[in-house]
Amino acid sequence: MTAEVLVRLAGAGVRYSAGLPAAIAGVSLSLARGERLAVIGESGSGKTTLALAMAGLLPAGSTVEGRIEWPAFGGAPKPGRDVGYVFQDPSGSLDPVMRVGDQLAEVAAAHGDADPHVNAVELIAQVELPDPVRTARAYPHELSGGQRQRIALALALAGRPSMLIADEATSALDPVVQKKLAELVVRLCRTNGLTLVFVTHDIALAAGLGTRIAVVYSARLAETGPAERVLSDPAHPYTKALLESHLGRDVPRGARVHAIEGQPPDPALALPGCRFALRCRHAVATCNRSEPGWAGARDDGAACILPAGMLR
Amino acid sequence: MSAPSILTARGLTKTYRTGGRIVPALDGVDIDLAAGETLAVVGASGSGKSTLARAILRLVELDAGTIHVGGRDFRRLAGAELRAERRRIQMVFQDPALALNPRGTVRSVVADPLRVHSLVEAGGQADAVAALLDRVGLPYAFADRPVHGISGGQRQRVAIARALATKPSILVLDEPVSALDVSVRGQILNLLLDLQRKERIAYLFISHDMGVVRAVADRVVVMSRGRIVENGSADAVFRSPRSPECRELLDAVPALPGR
Repeated sequence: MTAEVLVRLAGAGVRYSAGLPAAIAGVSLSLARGERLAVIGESGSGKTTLALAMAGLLPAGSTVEGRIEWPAFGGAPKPGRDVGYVFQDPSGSLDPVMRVGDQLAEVAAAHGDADPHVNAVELIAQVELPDPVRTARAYPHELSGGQRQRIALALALAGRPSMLIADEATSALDPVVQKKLAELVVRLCRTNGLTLVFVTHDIALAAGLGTRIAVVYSARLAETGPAERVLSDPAHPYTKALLESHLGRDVPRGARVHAIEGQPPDPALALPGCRFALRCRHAVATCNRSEPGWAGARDDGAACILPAGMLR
Repeated sequence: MSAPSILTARGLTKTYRTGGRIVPALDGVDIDLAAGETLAVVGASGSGKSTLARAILRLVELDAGTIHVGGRDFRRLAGAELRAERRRIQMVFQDPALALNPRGTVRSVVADPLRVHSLVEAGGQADAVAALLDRVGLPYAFADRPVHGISGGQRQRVAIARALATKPSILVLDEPVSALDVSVRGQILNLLLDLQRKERIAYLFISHDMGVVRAVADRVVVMSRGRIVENGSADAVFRSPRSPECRELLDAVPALPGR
């Protein structure tokens, strides 16, 4: 891969405060310009922390172990300017008593835009909302959830960042709206050459969005690689279990559905071995004794001792 | 449909007024539910499916329509009679963290309906709670855990145990797995499938996730703007959807490559 590296993590870990267990630990991963990385994990897995760390947006007071570098930005990225962030709940990122056009113009102006109100309307058009001039005059409550999330996306783009982070940005929306928004995000990234980090719990949604996938489980990076390889030839049993648990429209009612028994370990629980071992169908004694090393290349491998191809 | 209907709803109508506008949430909806079957109600946000769920439980009062449960006109009941009949229909909500008393223990949450409906003798409560927890796959050791101190999947199991306490013949499930992680979603769906097989409980299953619906439903109704726009067996609806709304919902299910 020759493209310029935007962010590189080497053995990176994050702790929100000294007394808390690491929210993520030992993550090595890099992201090049123009790539679209889907970060998959369940609640509490550390997927948001990983995204925040990549965006340089960790809250004050958190400590970072290992290294996080942004070679392309020459230092930590500037929020808004280098990295735009879209959160799950659009009502949380919008001012309820300010017209959305004014909110967009405010952000554009803060980034040195000479004509912020004109650009606000352009941004609204860019996120494919109807009648941009009229929409600019609307208050958030006058818009639907999907429309509000498009405004949140426009806000994230207002500083013309080169990297966009969407953290469960479509999960609160119904599937039809979700699909349209996800397609819009990919289209915007393609046309503007944006690098995307898309955080989601839905591996099938990730499949349609990402050029690369990172699977996070219980504060560890379980697997990462090109989307095609991870989906067709998963190297970590957790990835495979997620793929098997996917409910598509083609599996008719039967006696049971595929399920992963048990639940992720308590984050505070120190385990000597693999954190997935208790739920893993392939686990052997070693898995519970020592944490698995990384197998494969840094950006194409898994934290599992199973030989490559075992899960095929 | 061959099995007799245990829930028959006809002409359900409900309008909301918001800011001077009249919004029809339910516009002449008919529903039949047979013992032991799962009827999925699907639709986009705002289609009226949650209003339907709430109306059937009389959590929302209808403008018009009739609801017969086990032959009795549910909408005409009041007081003690209504309370008694309510045992037959119970509800499981999307987010158990919001649906259950956050300061309660698992025991208090599960025992409340037993107490309210006077379903156990004094001294029999512990056994009843243990039996309910066992039916949803939780050990009795969970009884004294605080509701906020257990995982989302375990909390949804508690919500189901609570719904089962009154021995209902119908469960209304409003997006019961959409707030859960993928790795526990399958466990809860399997629990619901197992319970239905063993106890012949009928499910009115509200969802917008057609993948989940495919895994549990015998029949499907599709709602849009307060009306039923499609109605059929799950096989028929998934094989050859007739309404644009249904096709749109099916197209929105993300697919894995090669599957």
